[in-house]
Amino acid sequence: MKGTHLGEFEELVLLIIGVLYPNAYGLAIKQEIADQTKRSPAIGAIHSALSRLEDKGFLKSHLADATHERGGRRKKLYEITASGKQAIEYNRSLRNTLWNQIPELAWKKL
Amino acid sequence: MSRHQPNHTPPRLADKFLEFFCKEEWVEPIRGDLFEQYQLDREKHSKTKSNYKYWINTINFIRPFALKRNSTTLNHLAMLKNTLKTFSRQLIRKPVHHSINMLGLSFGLIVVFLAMTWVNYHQSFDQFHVKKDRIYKVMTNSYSSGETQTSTGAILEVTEQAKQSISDIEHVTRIISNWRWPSEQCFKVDENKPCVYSKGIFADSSFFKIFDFEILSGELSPLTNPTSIALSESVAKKLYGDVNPVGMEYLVDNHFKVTISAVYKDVPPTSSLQFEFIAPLQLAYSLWGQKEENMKQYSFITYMSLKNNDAQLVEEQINSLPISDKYENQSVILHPLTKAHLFSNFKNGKASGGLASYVRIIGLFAIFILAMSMVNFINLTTAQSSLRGKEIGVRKVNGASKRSLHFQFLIETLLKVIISSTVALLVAYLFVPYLNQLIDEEIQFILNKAFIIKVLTIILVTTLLSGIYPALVLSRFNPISVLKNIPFKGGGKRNIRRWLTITQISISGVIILLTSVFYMQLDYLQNLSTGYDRKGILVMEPTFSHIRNYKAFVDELKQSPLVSEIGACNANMIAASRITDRVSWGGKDPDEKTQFKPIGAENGLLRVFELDIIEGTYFNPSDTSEQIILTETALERMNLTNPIGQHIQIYGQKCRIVGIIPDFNSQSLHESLIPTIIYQVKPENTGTFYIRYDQNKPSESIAYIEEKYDQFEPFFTMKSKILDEEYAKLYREEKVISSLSIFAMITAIIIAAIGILGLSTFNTIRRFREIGLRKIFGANGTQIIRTLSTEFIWIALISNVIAWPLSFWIMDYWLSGFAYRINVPYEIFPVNLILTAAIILLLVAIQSLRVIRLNPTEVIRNE
Repeated sequence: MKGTHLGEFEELVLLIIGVLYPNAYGLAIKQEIADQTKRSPAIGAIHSALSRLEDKGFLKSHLADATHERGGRRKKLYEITASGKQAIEYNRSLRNTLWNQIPELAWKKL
Repeated sequence: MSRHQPNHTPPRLADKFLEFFCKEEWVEPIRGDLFEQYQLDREKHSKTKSNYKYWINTINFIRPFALKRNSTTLNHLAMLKNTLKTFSRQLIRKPVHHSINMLGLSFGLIVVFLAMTWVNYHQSFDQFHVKKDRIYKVMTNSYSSGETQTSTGAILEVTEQAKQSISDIEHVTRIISNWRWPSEQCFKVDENKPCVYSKGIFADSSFFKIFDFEILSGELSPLTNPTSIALSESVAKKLYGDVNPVGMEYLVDNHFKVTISAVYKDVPPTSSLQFEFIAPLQLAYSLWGQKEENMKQYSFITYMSLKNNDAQLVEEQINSLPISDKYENQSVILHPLTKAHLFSNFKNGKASGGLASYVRIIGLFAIFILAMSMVNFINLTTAQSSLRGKEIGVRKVNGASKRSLHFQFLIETLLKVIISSTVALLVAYLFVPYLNQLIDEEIQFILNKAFIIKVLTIILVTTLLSGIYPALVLSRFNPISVLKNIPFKGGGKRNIRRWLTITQISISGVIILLTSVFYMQLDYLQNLSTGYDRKGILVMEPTFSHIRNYKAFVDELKQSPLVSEIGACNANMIAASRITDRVSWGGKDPDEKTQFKPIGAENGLLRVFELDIIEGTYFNPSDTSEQIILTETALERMNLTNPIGQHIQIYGQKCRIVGIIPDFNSQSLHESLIPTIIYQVKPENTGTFYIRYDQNKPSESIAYIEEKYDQFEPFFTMKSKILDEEYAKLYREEKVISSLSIFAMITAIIIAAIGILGLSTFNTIRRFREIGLRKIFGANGTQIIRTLSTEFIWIALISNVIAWPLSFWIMDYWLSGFAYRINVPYEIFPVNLILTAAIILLLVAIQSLRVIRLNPTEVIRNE
């Protein structure tokens, strides 16, 4: 069992796939990450994360039609699965709970 | 992008490469993405750059998820299992041979790991500060008569103005340390207990903003209040036990009230700043009875942190400040903190060496020794290779390729290296405390990432260097002759083995030669005349009441025959640091910038140091005008005729020359002699008493002095040092090097001996039958030894020819770092030749005796 923990980068990729729906594939995800976060991950890193997420069952994929831009090759399009949604929701609620627990006083000193 | 625009074609080879390693199912989507990216790149960049990016992106897919599961991996695994099994059987069958082989390697590795531990420890100095890369130690270059002297610290008003007007400087802290007083304090809380002497520093309040010394309790910025002090955890514990002293009041020197503002965690040993307490600068001024504005022209140890980290720019900005004009012959340089520990010596105003040069020497030694043990390893492995003949033959007959045999032997070497490194690492770890005793240091075995990476690299390199040759030799066996039982002719070309032994003996020759020169130079330095008898002088720190009652104290001390002379001085006589070129005399060339060392003392000091007046008289204590006594070199530099009674000016102050004394050394002999001027000071203005006591009764004398000390100052406990011991400490580093090289030398000799023994055994075995025949034809023992050793005589000769120039070059380089040095002692070269030849012949003779005693018929019958 690969575990259902979601790494920081994995979470980012998962969210971006949601944002790009229904057109999420490797390069588009990389560009969106670059636009939104100013990081530029290697395209290999994106695919590696996608493969991991798919193994964990957070993503499903299918091959789309071939296009001219890709030299006649098909895209692998990704979608979030129900358990994928659960995983990011869990992360979000965890963060919110923790955030709410920080006392006002902690910010006062800053 | 328009649909009709023709596409650019990415590099085909990269595509092929992708297909080669990537799982089939992934090839299409990945290729598509890469293709699309390539189109985008081509619009923005040149073709070359896009191609380059395409390659990089392709290579980036070599990740587990995309790799083909190769069916051949399984087979490799099976081979590996077989190799491991063969290896363990080898170890069980021939334990002695293999353990000698690995032990030899461990020897070399122990030396390497110990050297690495030492280097690693010193490289970890000052690395724990978060801002370490932005912190600089401020140094001052002073130029005079074409020479540049670099000293630690900078003038207060210069750094003050720099802080105000240069925006890139974030914080500046000035530090007072290493003064006998007040940097060293006698802490006393309980009247009835002796003092707790602690060394501390005084610093600006920004100190804790620059450096990260952890505060355990109390204020986070403990130096803001001018009457505060922060104590280290261990000092606080010694003084107050388990009570937290923060907020308590304490009387510094029993009269100046301060508040303990914080307790900080003990400074780690890997910090170049060491302090057991820290207090604001203002406190030091108050203790000195000085006003802050009077201190502006003094030089302080200074550190600064920069915002943008452009040290060169800041340096230029500081040196072009209007105030710098006042100090025209000086310029400020910023020395990075992370380098400060390793590079502490300066030459021509630039950091040139210090510990770093020792790091290099030690590294060289370690590599030498490792190389030697690798040679042994190779020799022993190939020499015994005939034992593996059958195994290799069978493997080859069953279809093993040369490549798979190479792989097998390399893995075997790797395993051996891993075993020997584990042993070596363990021994090195256990040996560190002894090493510390040997070199008088407190190094720790720090197992950090850098160290582990180095260990792994060494394992890898050792495996490759010592594994490749045996692997080539072993895999070359002809299976037919092996299986037909034709005796194997010995692995490897004899010439290569001979040259390896020559290399080995050359290396050990170099090490032996260098070690003897280290010793000779050190011996020379320590026995070099300082101009006085260093034995039997006690350096005592007086307190205020001793200074005030100086006369009475002297009279009291001299009542016993145990004390012959006592003198007061305001400098450290063996490492005086104050240097000035502001000395002028009649007829001085205005451009001349000769530097002098002014030392303030009274007549007693000259007597303690046996500096007899050559010309003129001692100081006249009742005459309060400025009087000076010159050393011979100082007089020579000034070129005065009839010096007695003439006036010269020091710092613009007119002084009368009353006497001339012989030269003496007041500094470490790394530096060349700077002429000394002694001026008369009243005992009230001194900080150190030097007492000459009876050398034959040292403990009795010191106890007596201590008793008199307490008579004048019951509150404090006497703090004293023995001058000769302090002098030896100036050469601590040299001592360390020579102890280490003695250690290296012993290891080198042992390893070389193993090597010679290995080669001679091999040779003798090969020549068994020849010797048998020789004996039958009437050769006697001496003749046989001669036959067997001719080769080794040549080896000894050639290796000396190689070792001589190499070691001469290293020696000369090392010695050039000393102002007082010996010439390269040529006689040690032939001595080394005789020594190596003798050792080699002895080893060969022992080997030959075994053969000579054999009955020749046994050898010959054994057909």
